[in-house]
Amino acid sequence: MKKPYNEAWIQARAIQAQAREWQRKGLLNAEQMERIKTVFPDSFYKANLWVKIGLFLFTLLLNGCASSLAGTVMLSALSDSVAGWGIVSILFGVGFYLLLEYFIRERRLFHSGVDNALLYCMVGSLVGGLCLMFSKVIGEAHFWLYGLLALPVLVWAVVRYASRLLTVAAFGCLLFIVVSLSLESPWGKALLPFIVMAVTGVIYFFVKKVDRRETSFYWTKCLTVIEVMALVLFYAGGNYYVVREGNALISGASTAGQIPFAPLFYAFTVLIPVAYLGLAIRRKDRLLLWISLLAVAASVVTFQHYFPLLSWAGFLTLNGLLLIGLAWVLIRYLTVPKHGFTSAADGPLTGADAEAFAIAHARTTQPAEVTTPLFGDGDFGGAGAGSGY
Amino acid sequence: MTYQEILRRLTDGQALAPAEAEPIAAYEQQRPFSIHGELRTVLYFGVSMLSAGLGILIYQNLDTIGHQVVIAAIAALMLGCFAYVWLHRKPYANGLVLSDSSLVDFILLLGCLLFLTLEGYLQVQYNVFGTRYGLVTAIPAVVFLALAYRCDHRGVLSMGITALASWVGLTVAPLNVLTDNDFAQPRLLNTALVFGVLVITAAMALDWRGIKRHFTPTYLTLAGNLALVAALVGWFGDAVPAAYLLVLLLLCVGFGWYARQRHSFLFLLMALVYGYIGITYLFFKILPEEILYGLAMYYFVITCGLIVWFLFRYKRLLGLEPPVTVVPVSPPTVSDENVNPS
Repeated sequence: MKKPYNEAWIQARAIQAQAREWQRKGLLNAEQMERIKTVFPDSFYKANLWVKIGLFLFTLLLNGCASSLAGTVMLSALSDSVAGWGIVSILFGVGFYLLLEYFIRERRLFHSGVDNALLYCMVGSLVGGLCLMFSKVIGEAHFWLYGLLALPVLVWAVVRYASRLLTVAAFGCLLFIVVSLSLESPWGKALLPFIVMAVTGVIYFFVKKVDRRETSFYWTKCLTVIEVMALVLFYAGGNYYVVREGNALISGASTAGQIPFAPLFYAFTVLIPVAYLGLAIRRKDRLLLWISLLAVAASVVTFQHYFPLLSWAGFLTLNGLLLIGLAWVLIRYLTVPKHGFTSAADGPLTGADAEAFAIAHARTTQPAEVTTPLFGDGDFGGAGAGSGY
Repeated sequence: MTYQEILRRLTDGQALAPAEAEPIAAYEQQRPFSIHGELRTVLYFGVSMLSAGLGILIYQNLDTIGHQVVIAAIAALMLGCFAYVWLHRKPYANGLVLSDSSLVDFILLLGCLLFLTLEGYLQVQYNVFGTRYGLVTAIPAVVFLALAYRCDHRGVLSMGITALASWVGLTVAPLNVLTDNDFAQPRLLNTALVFGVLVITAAMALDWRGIKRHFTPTYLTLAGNLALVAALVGWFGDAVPAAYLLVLLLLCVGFGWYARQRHSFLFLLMALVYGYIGITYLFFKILPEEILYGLAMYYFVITCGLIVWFLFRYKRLLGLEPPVTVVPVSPPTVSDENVNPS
């Protein structure tokens, strides 16, 4: 399938971003940066973030008004039935699709507000239209069938437009189908946590495999979104608190009582965060590291909730002290990098590093280039008052 | 893409000579994995949890500890914070003055928060200010604004503006402007409008004289939002609506001008949204209902289309193209004539 967004420009954007980072660290000079920009031009439409937000809001309003205007005209032609509404909605979806493709091609949009709004409107109209058309057939008994109608549209849109929000929607839709299906049988109800963990686990390993391929560059951000959701939901599926409260919710009990296989879920609550943390350290995976920290915190709170050894005040004080101590020790210990980790900020090169780099650079390039100061100019503070505000 | 892939593309495309790429690859290869941000976050949560836990413990054992001890502890902590900031102070300048580390800024903020805690504690426990509520908000307003200018801290500046607004009985927090202010009272509405316009005028006067120009967006966001909401509510009301509409449109034009001057497009967006609501209301107010019935949707379609078209070409329409060299808003370093030894 041909991608609507020009992949070469997206790559150029990523290359320029990395080059800027290198320039900030003093690894590239301005002249090299200019060369990179001319060889890898990013020709997408560019706008200030606030302008993009404005474009998004007013395009949404425009779409809503235009479609209700057209809708009143079309509905009088069709008989005013639910299926008729569905057909009109799908027609609008097709209209939005044509507009979206046109604007991306002709105006070089890339997540610039206008295309986001058109994309969401398109998916909304198509999914809404399909659900309306089939609402008589499906009825209200098996709600997940609507999810089954929406999923192909969502997956198609994600594959074509690589939108992060739609990735979240597609993942949510898939999980909704899985959970609703399991809830329809007593077996599924009992095994729900394991089903959720199995599905998210399989998705995670699949994504990790695809992630490394150069051909999946177009979807990098979507894959990251899926990775985060899969990791979080895998943990939630095994977390004792979630399972116990969820169990009560499903069975309609007023108080959440003890659950079957409780020791297993205690073990999950302890082991999953530990496994995440271990993997994060071994792979030097920042995303996994953040999720593991959150999971550790969630697990500690879970155990405090069910087995309070201390009052909450004591719990907060003790854990606060522990965290401060841990951070302090690690900051001290890793001031000089050890085992490939450092507690120093990943900023511009300073001191000995800068000297070593300058020497390495001098050996490989003509001496004229080295005399231009490579470092300094690290003015990056100033939260928000710059031109980007 | 990994850095190896990027370097390969750069050398393949002859943007970099292999000899130039080599030291970068060497650097990336030896670069340790920085957990600076993670450790900072852990530290931050540790401090928050410790202070929350200690706070609860103190509260639970207040009988045995006593108010004087708690007040003395808060005061000592606050003074410690301010002393630390004072020891790390930089000379005053009209431009942007960055402190040595973000820790100094953080400690200053903590000191200001403790100041509020201490003041509230004293008022609740000992009724120090009695019924002179104006004083309770005026003191922090003065202290925070002075500190904000002396130490160049935008967070403290917003706290100062907030205190100043509550001194006249208003809430300026952007999301609470409409819910926390009772604009059904015309007096409060006018207070808000006058306060907003006065603060904007003062901010622009300071901006004009080049004093802390990077503070202007903070003023405009808080006071401007308040004034715009007040003008809009006044325009929807029925006392003297046309005057409010005039103020609203003038404010919007001013914001648009400022956005164009300083490339701060948040203000362009604010001007557009508030202005659009105001003008749309005018349209619906003056046209008779029979005409509106058929026309309303066309109105929205046409105006939204125009705005999208305008925003899409804002660079050309506002005369920002060809690429403008962005003039620094304020001199980044201390220049001699601006130094004010204090």
